[in-house]
Amino acid sequence: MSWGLIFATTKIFHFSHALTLTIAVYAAVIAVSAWGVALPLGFAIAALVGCLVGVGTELALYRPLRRVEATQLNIFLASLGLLIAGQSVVLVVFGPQARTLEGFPMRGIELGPVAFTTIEALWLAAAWVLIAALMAWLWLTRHGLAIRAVASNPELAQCVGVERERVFLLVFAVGSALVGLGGTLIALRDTASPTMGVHPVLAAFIAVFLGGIGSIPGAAVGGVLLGLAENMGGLFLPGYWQGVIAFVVLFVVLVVRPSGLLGVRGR
Amino acid sequence: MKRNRFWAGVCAVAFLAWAALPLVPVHAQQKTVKVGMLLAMTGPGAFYGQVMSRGAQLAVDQINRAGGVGGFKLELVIEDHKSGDADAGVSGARKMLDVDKVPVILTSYSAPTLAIQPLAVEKKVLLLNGGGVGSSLVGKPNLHNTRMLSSQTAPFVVQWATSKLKAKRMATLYWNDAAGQGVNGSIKDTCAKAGCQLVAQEPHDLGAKSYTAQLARIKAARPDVLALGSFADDLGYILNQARAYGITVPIVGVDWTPNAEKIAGKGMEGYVIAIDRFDAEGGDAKTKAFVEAYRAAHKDAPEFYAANYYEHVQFILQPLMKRVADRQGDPSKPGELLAEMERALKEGGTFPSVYGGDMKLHADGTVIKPMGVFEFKDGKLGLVGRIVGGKIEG
Repeated sequence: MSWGLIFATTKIFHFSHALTLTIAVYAAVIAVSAWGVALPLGFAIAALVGCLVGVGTELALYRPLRRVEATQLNIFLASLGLLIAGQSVVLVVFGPQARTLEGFPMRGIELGPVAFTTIEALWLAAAWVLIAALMAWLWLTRHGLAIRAVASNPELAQCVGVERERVFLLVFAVGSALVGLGGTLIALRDTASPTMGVHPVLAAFIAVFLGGIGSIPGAAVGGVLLGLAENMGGLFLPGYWQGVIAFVVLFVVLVVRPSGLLGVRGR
Repeated sequence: MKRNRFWAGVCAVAFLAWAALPLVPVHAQQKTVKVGMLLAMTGPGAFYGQVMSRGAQLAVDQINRAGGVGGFKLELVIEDHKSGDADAGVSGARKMLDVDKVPVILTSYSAPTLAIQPLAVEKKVLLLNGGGVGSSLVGKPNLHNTRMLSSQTAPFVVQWATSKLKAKRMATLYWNDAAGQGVNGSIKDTCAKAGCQLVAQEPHDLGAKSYTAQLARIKAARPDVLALGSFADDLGYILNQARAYGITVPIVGVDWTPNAEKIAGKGMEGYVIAIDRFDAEGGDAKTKAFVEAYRAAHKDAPEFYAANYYEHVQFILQPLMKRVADRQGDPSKPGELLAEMERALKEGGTFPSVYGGDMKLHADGTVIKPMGVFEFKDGKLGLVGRIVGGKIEG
């Protein structure tokens, strides 16, 4: 949802979202593990740091590039470069080894034949709470209306007085705070490592294309479908096919419905 | 005019100084043997790279402090294969072979080692592997393994499961690469011979972090024992998740690292491994000297990965270099160390080892070292059985 929100509004292929996630998670891990901060406060720190990194990326990288009328490809390459350089810095500063995030007990829960863990239950609950909160904010507030207007038609939105640059800054702030929270949830089970952001962001790309480019609810639907396809498929196929399943589903959807499941057909 | 002459003089002196500069390093390079290392410096196996390089560096420092070998100093050149990426391994090896001109590469992981082996043959470079365990590493020219391979250790995992745990049904979860497939293949063969049934065989990608699908199928297959052919941090995630998903049967494997222990937390409790038996508390005078020096350098006890790469430099390369130097050869030249290794193998292939006593390298690239079965209990790994004459004792 976080990457989908940024992409749907700004049309920036924000690959360095993975770096935002990583830095935000490391901030939370250091706060919780080294400084002894309580885990809920660690989440707040991740959201804040994510927000600052996202806003910083928009102000220091994307906005200057837009001013010189850089193409989408130029912006994408700049984002990719930032990710690679940033990951190397994280690697040098924090070392290559995974860092655990303590503070939430991981126990098994069995409901009949279905087994999952307390952390996965937290993921599920937190994901739906965050999605609901984001949707409510987008649909019930003036800021949300402005974002949807820019996502739908930036030129027309500008004509009615919506400042595009401010909206961009807002979606980078909110989207990056969300990815900080999401990344910290992931780190509870999968630990923090310098390259941890790449896989979730790649999954986000697929989810956004699956759900429909430009559709914010589509990103949520795409994410749910992708997760279901990967995990249900994993029950029938060898586990290492999970990555392939995601691309097969994407391929099928793009062939059958190129605009994605909830995407708007080309004008 | 005078000013021009002055500047011309300055330029001439600067030029001569510049021209003379390369003479110094060239001279130094002639007296240095560069030892290549292809390790997992980043990625889920970064722990291995860290301890392996520490072990080798300790030996290099000790040798250099003692004046080198036959007038030659040692220098490590480390390249990263990113935890098993064969392409990254080949790039790193090419740089070491073509730019650094190393006569030897200390390598790790099965896939990168297999990928660079033809390059080593082409360049007449000696390969020493102390980390990779794939059974496909046997019988490869130029490659000598100083770690027991999966075909040597995995049968004891099955022996433990069937004799001590009375297992009739086993499941495997393993790395989908040469190392993991080697472990799985070996378990499969030994299990068939021991009369037990392999009820699930689940490969996974290296560094996968999530094993829900594989663990669900393993749980559904109701094994008596789960055997792991996974390594590095993956091991920690698997143990943690297996216990959380309600897999309560004993889990056995062929690897352990402190980092995996940290990741697994309580999930590591009861985990049993069959592995090369390096005992930092035991051994002989060589072991004690190594452990003391390692502790002094890193404030940490070495484990067998650090030990393997320490002895690569200290107990294999040093004597080989000495032999080359004694016959007025140049050990920094590719082919020299390799030829000397072949001669040493013909003479018995016995080298000192920090495991205690000697290790014996064979012409097919395998090694014989002390082995044992260890159990992780009450927060630490303890020896529960010695492997003597193909049997687990104790």
